[in-house]
Amino acid sequence: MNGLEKHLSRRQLLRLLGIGSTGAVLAACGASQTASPTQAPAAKATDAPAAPAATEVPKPTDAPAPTEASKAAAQTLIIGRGGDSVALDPAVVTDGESARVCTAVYDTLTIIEGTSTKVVPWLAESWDTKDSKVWTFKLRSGVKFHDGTECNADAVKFNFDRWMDPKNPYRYADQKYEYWDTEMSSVVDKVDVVDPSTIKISLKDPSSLLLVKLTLFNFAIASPTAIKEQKEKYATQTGKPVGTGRFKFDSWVPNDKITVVRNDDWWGNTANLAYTQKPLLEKIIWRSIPDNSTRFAEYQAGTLDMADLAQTDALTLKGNPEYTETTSPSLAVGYIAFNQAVKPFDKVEVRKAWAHAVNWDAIITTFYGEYAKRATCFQPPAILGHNPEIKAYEYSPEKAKELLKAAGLENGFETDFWYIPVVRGYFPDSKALAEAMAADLAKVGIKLNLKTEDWGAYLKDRKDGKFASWALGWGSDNGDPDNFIGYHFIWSDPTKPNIEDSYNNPKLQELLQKGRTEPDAANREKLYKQAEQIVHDDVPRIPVAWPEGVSFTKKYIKGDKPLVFRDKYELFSVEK
Amino acid sequence: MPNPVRLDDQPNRIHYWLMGSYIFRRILMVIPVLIVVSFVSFGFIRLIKGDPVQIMLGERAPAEEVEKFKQQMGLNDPMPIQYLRYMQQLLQGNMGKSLITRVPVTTELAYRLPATIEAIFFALLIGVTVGVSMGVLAAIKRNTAIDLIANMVALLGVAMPVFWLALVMIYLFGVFLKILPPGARIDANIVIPPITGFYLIDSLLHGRTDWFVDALKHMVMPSLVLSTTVMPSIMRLTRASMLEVLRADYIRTARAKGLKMGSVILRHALRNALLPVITTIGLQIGGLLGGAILTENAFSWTGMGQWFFGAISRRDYPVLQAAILLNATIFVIMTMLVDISYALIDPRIRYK
Amino acid sequence: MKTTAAARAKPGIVEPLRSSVQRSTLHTALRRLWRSPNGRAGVVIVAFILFVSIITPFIDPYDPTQDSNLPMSRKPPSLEHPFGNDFIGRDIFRRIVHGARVSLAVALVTMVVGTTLSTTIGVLAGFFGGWVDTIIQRVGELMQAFPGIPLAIAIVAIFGPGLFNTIVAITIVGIPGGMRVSRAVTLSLKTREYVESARALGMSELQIITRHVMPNLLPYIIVGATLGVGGVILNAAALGFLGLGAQPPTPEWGVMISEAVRFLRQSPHMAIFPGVAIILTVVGFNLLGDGLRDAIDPSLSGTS
Repeated sequence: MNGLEKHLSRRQLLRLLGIGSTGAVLAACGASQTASPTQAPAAKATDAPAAPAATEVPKPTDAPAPTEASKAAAQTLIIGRGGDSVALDPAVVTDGESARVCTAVYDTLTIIEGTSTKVVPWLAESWDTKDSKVWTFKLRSGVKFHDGTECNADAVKFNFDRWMDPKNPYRYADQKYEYWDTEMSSVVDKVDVVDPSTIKISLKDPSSLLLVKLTLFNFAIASPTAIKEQKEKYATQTGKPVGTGRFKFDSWVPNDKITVVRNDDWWGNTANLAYTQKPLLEKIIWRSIPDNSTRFAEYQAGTLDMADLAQTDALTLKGNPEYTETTSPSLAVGYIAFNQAVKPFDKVEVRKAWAHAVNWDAIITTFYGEYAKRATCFQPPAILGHNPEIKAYEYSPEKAKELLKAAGLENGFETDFWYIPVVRGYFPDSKALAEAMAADLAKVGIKLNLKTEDWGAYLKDRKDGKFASWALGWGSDNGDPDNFIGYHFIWSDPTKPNIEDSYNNPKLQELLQKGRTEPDAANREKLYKQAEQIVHDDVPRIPVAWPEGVSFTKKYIKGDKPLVFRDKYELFSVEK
Repeated sequence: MPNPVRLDDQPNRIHYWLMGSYIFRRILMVIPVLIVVSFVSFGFIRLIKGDPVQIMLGERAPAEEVEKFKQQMGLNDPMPIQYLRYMQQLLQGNMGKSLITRVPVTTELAYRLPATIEAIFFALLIGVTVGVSMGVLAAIKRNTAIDLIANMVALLGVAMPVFWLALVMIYLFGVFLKILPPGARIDANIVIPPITGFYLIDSLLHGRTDWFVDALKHMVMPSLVLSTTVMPSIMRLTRASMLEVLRADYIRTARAKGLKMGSVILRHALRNALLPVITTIGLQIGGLLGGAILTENAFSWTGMGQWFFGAISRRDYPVLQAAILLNATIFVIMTMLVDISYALIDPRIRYK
Repeated sequence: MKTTAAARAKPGIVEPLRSSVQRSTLHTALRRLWRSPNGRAGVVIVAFILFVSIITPFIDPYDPTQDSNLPMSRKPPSLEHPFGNDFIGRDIFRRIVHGARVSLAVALVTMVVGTTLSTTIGVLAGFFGGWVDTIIQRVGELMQAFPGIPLAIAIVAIFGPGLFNTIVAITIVGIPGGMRVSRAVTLSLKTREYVESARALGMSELQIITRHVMPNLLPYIIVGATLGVGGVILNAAALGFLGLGAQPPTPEWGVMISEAVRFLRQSPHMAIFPGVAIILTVVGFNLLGDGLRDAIDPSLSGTS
């Protein structure tokens, strides 16, 4: 895995996070670390679509064909979410809440097929390259922006110019073109109009990543006329985004709701593409409801058709006949971590005692229901290098006491434990979980002082090594072990252990470094399996749970398909 | 306790002069308070733990990026310089931009403030109407079942935690009975083009009574919940001062003159009994603003309270500053208005 | 939030002292308190809550860190667990009973510290007048410019969440109100004949304050403090509910409600019982406060 590709997938995660969520997706709070099925193979698609999930062959989507007249009035989808969009100018926003609206309003040149991670034509009808350095894109003809102007090669070039040139007159003081700067500025050299429907993108170095990068919502094509007219107000709360997408922007009541209506002149209606269909919804409304419990109450009251929910909230919908449940395999882990620079965590017996003292299975049942598995090792089964031979630390207070005794702490000890202040898929209720864990630990003499703080401070203080023990988790960006076990244990400064945990095991460093460069998948797997074993033996972290992606959708929302790699608003219909 | 306003209390030039000078002095008094408020609100925020930039740039943003951004935003400058810059901008009507949304604070304020005022207005309306009528009834029917019930309601109203009451009502009327919307200011399908920002006024200005009705429906639960912060004390005070006024000589005289009880109450007793009620309302503004935080949060009401609470959890400095500043300013000005209106009603104050 | 102690107490108490205060002895006041139905209800409720929270540690020692019982998660009320169990299987009845200790402790500390501070400042301001008074008044006004709960939230946001900081915040919030009351009463006492004559007799200022001002002020302080307890408990619960107050696993009522919110539909008992506990306690203290006020000075309430 080269660095660039890894980076791409991290960014892509953000994008997918926004558009992949449907129904009561448990990715509430815009968590970039929540387990979501959307992320894994996204990056792999770039060179080798080897991921098992990516093999399904795209086939024409058979629309449920509702009699349009009867359904028309009811075709409004109201989605509840935790926060408002920042802006609807895809070039300058980075957050998931902006992304999900942008993907409805704008189109990109290329798009990911959906059930697979294959890159397929979108605004660009076809493309061609001889050397992977100069790419020629043939644009779909007759595509119109929502303001009626034409989306031709000039319009596309206008967008590229704005992204590329820091001195472009249509860039404004506060705007940061973060995605372009991180993804494209080192890749793209120049963009030329060949003819009104052909555009040529020349790269600095040959790369096949261009196609997948162009699927990022940030590189969607906006109307040059609108940008010129609205100037710095373009697509802000007081402006109006104009794209070519399935839905036209209708209104934005800041911090309350954003409404888009169906674009009946959408080019896709007549393009006959196998991987898309004419949208059935007439209107989508995204409502911002910051308070989790209020959002959940509204979802239950029926004023929302879909809602981003906290994991534990969703669990209480289980068995409710009004909802359809869908799950997807885990790509995340929630763990307990120790700082070995703080006594007594320098002793492996103490860390092991902790692992044995807690009835993790009971905790999983209570907090995750059946939507998580007890983590037996650090990485969930879907990640390369997961080691099925490792057995989870068994619940045994006696063993824990023995271990403590061996460490010279038969009377136990007292320590600070930090739990996360936010809801994450890997720790849906970190506070209560910490309480339950503390109760078990108290029985073997380990007394925890539960603490938390503001999330930003939390992440920083943890990194600075200010915590003795803490809860945190990780959701895979791309399904690769270097982004999982590697991310956690490779020293950022190769000469000394990370400050956050002071975990020093040179053998592990060697394995993880090798894993980065080893080309052969089977060999890599062996390396990472060994690494898993070391982590299990040293207990720098106690893996607690592998949470699955779960969603509860209202029964009357039809058309949902496992299109996990891009948005799918065109599929839904409301059949109350 | 209130003395009756006597009809022979003829206004004269000295009166007006005294009144004018009182009002002038009262307004002047506000200025130094507001300056210190600005100072405090600025300093306050800088003491708060937590790094807004880290939150803003994302959980995985590297330290250099964070540092660079802080530099750009001037968050690394010495505090006095930051304060001067803040004050300078403030006087130009610029409260900065939200660190999170990049929207100017004043823009956001323009629709947040009406939402809160609308809610507080209705809460006061309910609180005063219910409180005063219950108080009057309780006083007239003293030591009867009505008196007892009114007292019980007031007692429970004070004792019920706002956040708890909001939850119970949301689930009872919103989720189970489904007769009232559980949150928001208006139905998701309705977008009212802003004129004043007050939904009830704007809906009428647009000539849409259906919008008006819908907005009113959304208003019921939040304002009812919020009204419990003021209703009990208004009721108790009305009752107490009514009792006192009813005992007063001039009421007895009026009744002796054969005036009907109903008109006595309305014309004489109530008017005098309401004086202390105005003071209470002034004293309750703080309670209302506090209640608004809890209520707006529970009902996803896009007002100042929700803004304030959100800004705290997101460490959004400029918004927090503005929210604290505004909370205090509203409070100071409302108190001032109450004092002045009290002076206008009760002439004795002017001589203080 | 709600009405602060000061706000609720003020309209009645600020009124100049009535002569009945001097005449009413403790004995008659208490008798009057017991005779009024409201007062009696207050006495009974508060005595009950006090009794329960004093004896519980002896009959049921409780360590909230060891109380979880995951198999009993969210079980509805039963004979064994009269109020049911919470998310991690803790007995809600037990937590509410022990939670009373937390709420009362917060109220006690806040009232004692807050009242001492506010009375001292208020008496000084009222008694000495002049620039001392002016400064104190201005500072008080300034503090009042930041309304209660928002101020408390801001304070807690600075110092970090927790029970101790909650107490600090609520105490600070309550000071200006109490100060105004004691200042007003002191002002009216200062001009009394017996104060004048004490001064003529050569008593020092301190002696006058301790012998003449304080004893007369005391009933008002007690009434004000009692009436303030309700507000303190509500504020503490609100901060707990918002995640800024007491931290888990402390059995604080506001925290318990916040933990119960998302299960309101399936397990309403988790939220209802702590809510009722708050209401009962606040009602109790308010009744007691009203009763005390009526008993000490019947003319103040205008009810009898």
